[in-house]
Amino acid sequence: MKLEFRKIQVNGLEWADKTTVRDGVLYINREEATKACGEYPVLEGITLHLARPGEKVRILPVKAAVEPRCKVTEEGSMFPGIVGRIAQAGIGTTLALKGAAVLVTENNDSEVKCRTGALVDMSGPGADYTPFSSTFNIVLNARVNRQAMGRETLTTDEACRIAGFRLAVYLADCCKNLKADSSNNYELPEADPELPGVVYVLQLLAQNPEIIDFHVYGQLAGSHFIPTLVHPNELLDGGVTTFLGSHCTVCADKQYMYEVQNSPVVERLYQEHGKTLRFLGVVVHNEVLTFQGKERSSLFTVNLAKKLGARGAILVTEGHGNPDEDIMLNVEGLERAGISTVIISDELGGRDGRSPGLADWVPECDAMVSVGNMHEILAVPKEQKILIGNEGSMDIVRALVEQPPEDRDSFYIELKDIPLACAQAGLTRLSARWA
Amino acid sequence: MAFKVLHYINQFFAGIGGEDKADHGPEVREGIVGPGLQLKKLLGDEGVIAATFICGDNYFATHTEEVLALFAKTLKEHTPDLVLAGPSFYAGRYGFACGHVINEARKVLGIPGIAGMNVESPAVEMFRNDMFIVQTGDSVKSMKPALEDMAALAGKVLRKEPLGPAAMEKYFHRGIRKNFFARENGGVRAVDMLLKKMRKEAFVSEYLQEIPEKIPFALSVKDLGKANVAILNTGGIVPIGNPDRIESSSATKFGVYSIRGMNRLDPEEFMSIHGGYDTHFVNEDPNRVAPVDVLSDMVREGMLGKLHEFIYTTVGTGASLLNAEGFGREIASLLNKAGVDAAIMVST
Repeated sequence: MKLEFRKIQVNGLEWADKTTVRDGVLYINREEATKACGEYPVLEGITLHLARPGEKVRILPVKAAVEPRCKVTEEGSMFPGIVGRIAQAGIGTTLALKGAAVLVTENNDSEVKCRTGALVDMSGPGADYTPFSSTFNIVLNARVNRQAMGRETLTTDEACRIAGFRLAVYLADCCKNLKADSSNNYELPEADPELPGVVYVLQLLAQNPEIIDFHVYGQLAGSHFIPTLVHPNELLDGGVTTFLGSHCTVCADKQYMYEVQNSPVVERLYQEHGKTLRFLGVVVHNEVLTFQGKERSSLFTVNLAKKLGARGAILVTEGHGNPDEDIMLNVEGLERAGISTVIISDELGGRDGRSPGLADWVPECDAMVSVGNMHEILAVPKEQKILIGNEGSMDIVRALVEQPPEDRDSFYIELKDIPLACAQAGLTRLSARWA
Repeated sequence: MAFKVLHYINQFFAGIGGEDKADHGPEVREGIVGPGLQLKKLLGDEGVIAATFICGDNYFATHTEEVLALFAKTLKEHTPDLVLAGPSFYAGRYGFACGHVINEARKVLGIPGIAGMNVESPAVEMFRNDMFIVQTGDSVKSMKPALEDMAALAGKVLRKEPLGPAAMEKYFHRGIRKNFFARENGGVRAVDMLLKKMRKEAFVSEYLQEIPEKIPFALSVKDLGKANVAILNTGGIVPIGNPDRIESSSATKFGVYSIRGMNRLDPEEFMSIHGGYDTHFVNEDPNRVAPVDVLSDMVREGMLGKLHEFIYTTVGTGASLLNAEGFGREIASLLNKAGVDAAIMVST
């Protein structure tokens, strides 16, 4: 499977008559782009905003983040089953607008039925912890219908989810005839069989059916899904998609679509393929709620790695608590099969950093990359000049503390409320160490 | 103005004598004694050793409370900014005394303290979570580097400078995890670690955890018809208004709510404040998470002896293990005291 991957670097963002990139600036026709999001009876409307690095802008709740990508060729499909037709993803030619991101938020939710915090500050102390403070963001602000949200949140979330993917494809699609800044091929040619085979185990939450859950080629994975094997190229084209939605109380350690698209482990394994290892593929594992379900999923994940002849595995996870059991079952099974494992996980160390970080641990687990303690508190300004999203959601992110910060214009939040602060697919640099 | 330091040493380092003088009672001397001389030089203009508190190791061990009372008095008299204790190297009783006086200083004046011990000293495990214990060699031969490291850390602590990780500042880590930004992202670090592990080269895991304690199941209830049954939940069922302000995720507390006289939870009185699931169906009928209605029916039908008159609530999502364990132990002890025989734990 071969994918030509073209990149256009975005270093600026402006409204204009025509959606295109010129001299690194992404110009957007606001009306056309809004239309491209689609119409949804459940929403009262969609407004687009721009948010650039360094601006005094706060966006919350960030329910989704997607890098704009599209297919340049007839061959292949982008976000198959959601935007693109059901066809093989990961082949043909793809265009990505690097440095840009579509962020999905909402407003008019005065009763705060959306319980996701997810605060992105484009400047200030909070900005250091999220990759979305350094991307040029096209913010899709969905005006929710209060009555609809009062009944249930899923219908609204589905509209937001689909609108976000559509906008991401639209933006790239308008640029597909432009000259790319760079291009490279993603493929996994035959490699020296003596090199150790490595699999990427992508554990994703499948818990809150149709809310915090992932899709494979547009199909909801959920608890019925059996772990399967995909080619890493398929991740680059959105064959597996994620979405946070309204009930994601911790967003720091969830895999926003942007992180799945930009997985640094996948990138590095491609680079090392044929040199120090053979990249055998991606095992997509669903983190379900029941213990029996976890045992079943783990059985299939371990068997897939064994059948592929893997000697090593990198496990990335989503969430914490019960998903830690998925990690430990997988590590136990893989290590007992002679497959070396490294896990990437965050820690739930408590605000004082004194709590054990994971809900469980097995003796076989001896190699972990820590992406930080998500409970650590951080003082951020009470207000930014502009807030895009839902004012009422501020109540969710305010951490109750005995001692407020010295700076009276600030308040404390836990890192858990900053998107990708503790990125469990390894996108960001936060870690933790003993003190 | 220089910071004031109170120094604690034992009878040996005060030059009073060895094991034969270990019963020497406590005394306070103005200014420096023994290793204090070197410490004074290392602290330079920044710190002044206001007084030295001396006590024989045996005397301390056998009269701990009495010595600590005198130490507290000395603290109040001299109002130091910091206590330095030892270094006590490998010594057990001396290390024990050092740990205790630093704890006392925190309790009495709220000031920090720094000890110096060898990894083999039993006092390290006893006190490391509560204070800075600089890692030293195993005997008086390593006095010089020990004092240097203690003084270096003392300077930073007194100036309230941000500290590096335990390993860099040379103290035994206090069981605290602190965030920092690594040079490479997590993905790159993971692949590097795996390559080393597969080649059987040395690698350092960024975190390791002890295997959690496995709790055996309680014995089953022999006669449910006589049992007092309680309802617990992590689904966030609270009285409307959330009087205890339980957080909708990473909860730091639990609530206890009376259901006396109720045979069902009224949606006008109870709601869920959980943030991790769509609570509409629970707010329509809170009994769907805390089934007071069904259990009351069962009591009426004689299948259960009694429904305990309180429900116990927290929010499960994002809680730290330490908090959750604490809630569990506290709730269990409340249930024991109330004579509850069995509990239904509803998780969401």
